[in-house]
Amino acid sequence: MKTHPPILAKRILKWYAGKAEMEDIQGDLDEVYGLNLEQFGKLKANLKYWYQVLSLLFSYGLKKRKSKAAYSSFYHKNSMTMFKNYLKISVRNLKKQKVFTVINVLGLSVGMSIALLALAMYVELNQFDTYHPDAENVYRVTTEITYDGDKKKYASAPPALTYRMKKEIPSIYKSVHINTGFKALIDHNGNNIRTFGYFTEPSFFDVFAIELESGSSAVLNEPGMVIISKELATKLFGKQSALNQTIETEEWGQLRIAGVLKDFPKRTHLAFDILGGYPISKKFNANYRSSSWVEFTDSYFYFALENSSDDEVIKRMNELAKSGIEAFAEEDEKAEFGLQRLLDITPGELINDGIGVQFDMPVMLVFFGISLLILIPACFNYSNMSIAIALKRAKEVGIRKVMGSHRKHIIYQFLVETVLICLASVALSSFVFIQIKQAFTSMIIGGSALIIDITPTLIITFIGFAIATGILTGIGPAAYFAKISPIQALRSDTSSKVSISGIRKGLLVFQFALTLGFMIGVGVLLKQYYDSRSFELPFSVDNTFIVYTQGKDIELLKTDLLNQSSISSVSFSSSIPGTSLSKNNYLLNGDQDPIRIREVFIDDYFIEEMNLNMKWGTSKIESGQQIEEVVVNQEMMKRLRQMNFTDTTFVSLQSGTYAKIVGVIENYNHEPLNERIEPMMLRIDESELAYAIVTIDDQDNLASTNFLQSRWDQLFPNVPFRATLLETEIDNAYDFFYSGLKIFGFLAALAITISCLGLLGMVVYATENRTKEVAIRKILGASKQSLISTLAGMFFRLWSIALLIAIPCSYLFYDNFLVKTFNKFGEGVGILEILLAVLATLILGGSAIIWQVNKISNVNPSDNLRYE
Amino acid sequence: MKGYLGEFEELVLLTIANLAKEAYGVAILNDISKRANRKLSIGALHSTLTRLEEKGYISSYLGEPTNERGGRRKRYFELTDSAVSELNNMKSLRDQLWAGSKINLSLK
Repeated sequence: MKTHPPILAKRILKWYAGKAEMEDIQGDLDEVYGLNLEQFGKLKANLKYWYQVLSLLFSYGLKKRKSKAAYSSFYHKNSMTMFKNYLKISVRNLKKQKVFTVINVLGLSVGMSIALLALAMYVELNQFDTYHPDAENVYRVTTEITYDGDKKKYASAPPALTYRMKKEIPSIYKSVHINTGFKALIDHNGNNIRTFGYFTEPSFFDVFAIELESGSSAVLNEPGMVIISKELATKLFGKQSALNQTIETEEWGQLRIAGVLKDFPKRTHLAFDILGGYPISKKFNANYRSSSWVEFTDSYFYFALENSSDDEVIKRMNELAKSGIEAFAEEDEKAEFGLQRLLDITPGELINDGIGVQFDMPVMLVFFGISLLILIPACFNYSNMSIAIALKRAKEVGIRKVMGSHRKHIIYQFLVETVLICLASVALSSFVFIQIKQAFTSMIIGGSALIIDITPTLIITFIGFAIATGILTGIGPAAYFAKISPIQALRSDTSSKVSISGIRKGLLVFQFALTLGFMIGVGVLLKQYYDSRSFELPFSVDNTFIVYTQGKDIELLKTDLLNQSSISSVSFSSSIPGTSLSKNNYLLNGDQDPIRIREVFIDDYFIEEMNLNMKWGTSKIESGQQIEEVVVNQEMMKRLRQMNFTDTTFVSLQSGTYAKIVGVIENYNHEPLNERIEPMMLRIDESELAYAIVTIDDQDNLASTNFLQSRWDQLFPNVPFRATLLETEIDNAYDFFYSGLKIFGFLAALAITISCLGLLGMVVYATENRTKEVAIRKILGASKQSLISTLAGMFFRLWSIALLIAIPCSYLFYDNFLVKTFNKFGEGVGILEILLAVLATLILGGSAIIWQVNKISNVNPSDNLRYE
Repeated sequence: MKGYLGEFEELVLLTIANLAKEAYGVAILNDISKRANRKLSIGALHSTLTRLEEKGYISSYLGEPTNERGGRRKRYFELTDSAVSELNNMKSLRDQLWAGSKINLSLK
C-alpha cells in the first residue's frame, strides 16, 4: 500500500508558500516522512509531518523565499515592454471610441477644474513663509484662553511674557516683537490713504527675509521715523525717492520716512505697508513690557531656536508665565501658552487675532469638499460609461484571457486607459484653470496674497493628481472587466447581461435630477439678482449724490445748497441709505437681555426727503427737548410688543438716554436687501451726520458733480471735496452678495455641464447597444418615428421620475434655505424656472436621442446585423 | 553581511563541513539530531540556513533530480571562505579561553 503524507497539510503549505520556490523543501519533507514511516508507523509519521509543516509556516526561511519570489516575478522582468503595449492598446481603443473619449475628457476636465484650483491654492499656501532664514526653527507664541468653558486660541501673546522669554531663555538666538496696532491715515495732497503697519524692532529684518532698499533698520529704535513698503512709496511719491520725506498722519502727527523696503515675496502671512518703532507710541512703556498680561491682543512674538527642542522652551515659558496666569485668573480666565511653528501658520489651524492674511485649514477643507462634490459626479460618469461600453470590450478581454492574461493584466490595461484620459483632462483643465484663477483670487478675501504661478511643483502636483484620480476612477471598471469570464465573453451573449438596469438607471435618474435642480437653482438666483437690482426703494436713487461732510458745518452747507435752484432736496444722515449700517445701540428691557437695535442719526428733513411713509405719529422730531424724541420703524414696535413692553412710547437706551417715540415709519430696506429688516431708531444729532444726501434736477451727473464741487470749494476752500453717486454706493454695498452669486453660478454651471455630458453618454450608449434591435425592427418595416418613440420611451420614464424628485427637492432647498439666508425678496422657485429647466433638459435629452437614432437608423440594417 | 555567529549556526556550519558533498536538508537534520541529540524541525533548520546564506557563510545549489524524492531535486549547501575564517576565529578564541582558564576544566 502506498502511503501519502496528509493531503491537507500539504495543501496548506502549498497555499501559504504561493510562488516561493519549494521544490527542495518539499523533497526534504517527503524524505523525512518516508524515514518516519519506516521507523514509527503511519499515525506518528503523519503527526510528525504536520509538525514539520507547522514549523515551516513560522520559518524565516520560507518567509524569505516568499518575499524573494514576490520581487523577482517573471512579469516584472519586462514591465516596460508590457507597459508600452498597454499604452498602445489604450490609445487605439480611445481613438476607436471617439465620442466616449471626448465626452469623458470634457466631463472630467470640467470636474477637475475646481479641484485644480483647490490644489494650486494648497500648494501655494504650503510655500508661505518658507523663504525666511532658518524658517523651520522659527516659532511664535500663542495664547489659549478658557473663559466660561469657552476655549479660544490666539496668535498673540502677552508682552510681559514674551519680553521675559527673550531675556531669560538663552536658546532664543534671534527674536522680534510685533504689535499690529500701527494704523496710520496718511494725508497725501488732500487724499487720505489708510495704511496698516506694525510696531516692531530692528531684529524684524533678521527673523524675516525682508530687506531694506534704502535706509537702516536702526531707525526702528527711534521715535518719529518709519520704514515703508516699496508699494506705498510708489503710491505716495511716484518715481521720486521717498527717503527722508515726511508724511502727515492723523494719529501720529509728522513721521519721517527713514527707510524703504525692497519688494518682497507675497507668500507670507505678514501684510503691512508701514513699519514703525515702538518708541512712536507712548503706550509701549516699561510697564507694557513688564506687566501687560491680560491686554495681549495685537502683540506678537516670533523667535528662532538654536539646537534646542521646543519642549524645553515650552517648559521654561510656562515657568515664566506663572505670575501672568494669576493675572488672568483674576479675570476668571484660564491662560495657557504654546508655540506655533512659522511654517504651520499658513495653512494652519483656526486661530483668533491672527496677523495679516489668514488661510486656515477648516476653510481649505470646505473648499476641498466642494471640489470633490464637483469631481465625484464626473468620475461616476466615467466609470458608468466605461462599464456601459463593456459590450464592445468583452471580446477583447476574453481573447486576452484565453491568451494567458491574468486578472491583474486586464486591470492594468484599463487603469492605463483611465489614467491617459485623466491626463488629457488635466491638460485641458489647466487651460480652464489659467482662465479662472484670476477671477477666483479676486473673489476671495486676501486673495491678492495668492499669486498661483505655474511652477514645476504645481505641474508635478497636477500630474500626480491626474494619475491618482485615474486610478481611483478606473479601479471600478477595471475590476469589472477583470471579472469577465472568457467563455461568456466569447460566446457573445454578454449583450443580455450588460443593459441599462439597476444602478445605472438610478444614476441616470440622479443625473437628470441634478441637472434639473441646478437649472432651477440658476433660475432662482438669476431672478433674485434681477429682483434685487430692480427693487423699488422708497427713496429715489436717480440724480442723488452723497457728499461727505467731513465734520464741516452742516448748517452752512445746507443753507448754501438749498439756495441753489437746481437742487431739489438736501438732507443729512449718519449712514448712506441702502448700504450696511454699522451703528448699533441696545434697548434696555428690565431684567431681560437688552434688544439690539440699529441706529441712524438724521436731520429733520430726512424722513420727508427720503419718502418714508409714516404709520403713526409725526415725522417732525423736535430736537433739544428734555426727553429726546425719536422715530422708530414698525419692526421695532413689533419687537416691543413681543417683549411685553408696558410702555411703548418711552424707552431707555443702554447709552443712558431716555427717549420718547413720537413716530413710527413703515419698514423699509435701509440696509442692503440681503439683510433682514432690523428694529431701527432714527435719532437727531447734528454731530453724528456724516453724509449729505443731495438730489439735483439735472440728468448730467458730471455737470452736477462739478457744480457741487464748486459750491463746496467756496464754502470750505481747504478741504478736498468728496462725493459719490448714491447708486454707486449701493452697488458697492452689494459687491459681496454678487460675488457669492457668481461663485454659486459658476459651480452650478460646472455641475450642469457634467451631468449633461453624463446624460449624453448614457443616451449614446443606450442607442449603440440597441443597434441590432433597431436593424431588425427596420427590416420588419418600422418607421423612424416609431424607432425614436421606442428609444425615447425609456428616457421619458426615467426623466419623469427625476422630475418628481427634483422639483420638490429644489423647492425645499432654494425656497427654505438659500433664499431665506439671503432674505427673501424674490419669489423663490416659480413656475417659470421649472418650465425652463424642464424644457432645457427635454431639449438636451431629446436632441441626443434624435441624433443617435438618426445615426443608427440611417445605416443599412444588413451592415448592423453583420457587425454583430 | 558578517555578523555574530550563534551556537546553533556554528553547529550547522560544522555539520555542513562534515557532510561535505552530501550536505542537503535532511542529511544535515539527521546528522545534527544524531550527534547533538536534539529535536529539530525542518522549519527551524531552514530559518537558520537562510540566515547563514544571508550572512554570506554558506552558498547553495540544486542537485540532479532524484528518484527517491519523486523526481525532486535536493538543495546542497557548502561553506564559503568567510565561513572558514569565521570558524577559525571562533576556534582560536575558544582555544585561547581554554588555555587561559585558571581552573581545571578537564574531566576526570
